[in-house]
Amino acid sequence: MSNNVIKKEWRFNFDFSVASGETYGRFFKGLNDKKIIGNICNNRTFYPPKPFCDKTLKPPDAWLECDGAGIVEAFTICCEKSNGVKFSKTDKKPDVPYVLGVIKIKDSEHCIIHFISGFETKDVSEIADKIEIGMKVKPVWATKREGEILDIEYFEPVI
Amino acid sequence: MQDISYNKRFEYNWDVPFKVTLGESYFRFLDGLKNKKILGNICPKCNGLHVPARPFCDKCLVEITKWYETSGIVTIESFSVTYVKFLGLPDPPHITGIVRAENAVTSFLHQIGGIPYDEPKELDEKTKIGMKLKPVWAEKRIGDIQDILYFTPVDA
Ligand SMILES: [Zn+2]
Repeated sequence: MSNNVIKKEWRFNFDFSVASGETYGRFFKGLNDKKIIGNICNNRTFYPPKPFCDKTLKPPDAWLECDGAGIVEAFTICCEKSNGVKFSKTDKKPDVPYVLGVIKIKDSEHCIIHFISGFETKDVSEIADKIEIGMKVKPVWATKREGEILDIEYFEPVI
Repeated sequence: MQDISYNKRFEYNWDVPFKVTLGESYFRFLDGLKNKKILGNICPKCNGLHVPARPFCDKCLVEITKWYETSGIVTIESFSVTYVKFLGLPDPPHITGIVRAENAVTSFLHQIGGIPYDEPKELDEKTKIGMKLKPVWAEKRIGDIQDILYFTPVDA
């Protein structure tokens, strides 16, 4: 057996771009002003807003706005440095360990994924002790905001 | 009506290097390509021929140990002609096919080439499901699926 084919190496390298459209554009513009924009359809609220309601299939009735406080629905503690997925317009890759959370803002029908931080420790088991599903969190805003998702640096526990 | 004044473009890059450990069956299959051989293996229970060779039969869930060298001739099961340039793929027009070796119970993806045409659009008609193809081998073979450059009609 020659060793050169036992392990295969590949590389996916994609450059791509996404246009926000009006609905998500409003959401990102809101972040610039430290506001979380959502919308509502028949008492069902959406943060971030949806272009159309997934039940009625019609455009939602009205725009909403809130401070972004929410609860942790799920989370994972990441201990490996991400190797290649970069954020929009930045080379930023978070230092490990970091926490990715699925966060339900206010009474939203769906969640967003963002960082949860502010634990004042880098110890994985200490972080695990400090975070739990159902925990209240709120956004920590970047000082310099550009109307993009990292205008929220991360969500932190509400004490 | 959308209010396009809110529209904003976001640029991204995903650069993801990754590795796969082949295991014995896939190693032996790829190693066979070096010697211009397309190897399969046969399930001891259902007699199903697997090409490329696999570690176990997904129907019987038993280990496959009996090796078989195919003729290299494959049949087009399905295909798609691509007319636009895509990262990492050959220049258009190119044909991606799902091909089956002999009476194998599995099929696999590869490129189809060497079908003559004047206008690229003719490839839609000139490529036929059921067409018999043979491999065109790379000069320098390293034990990789690309050791087969593409499959071409048997009578070409
Ligand atoms: Zn079987």
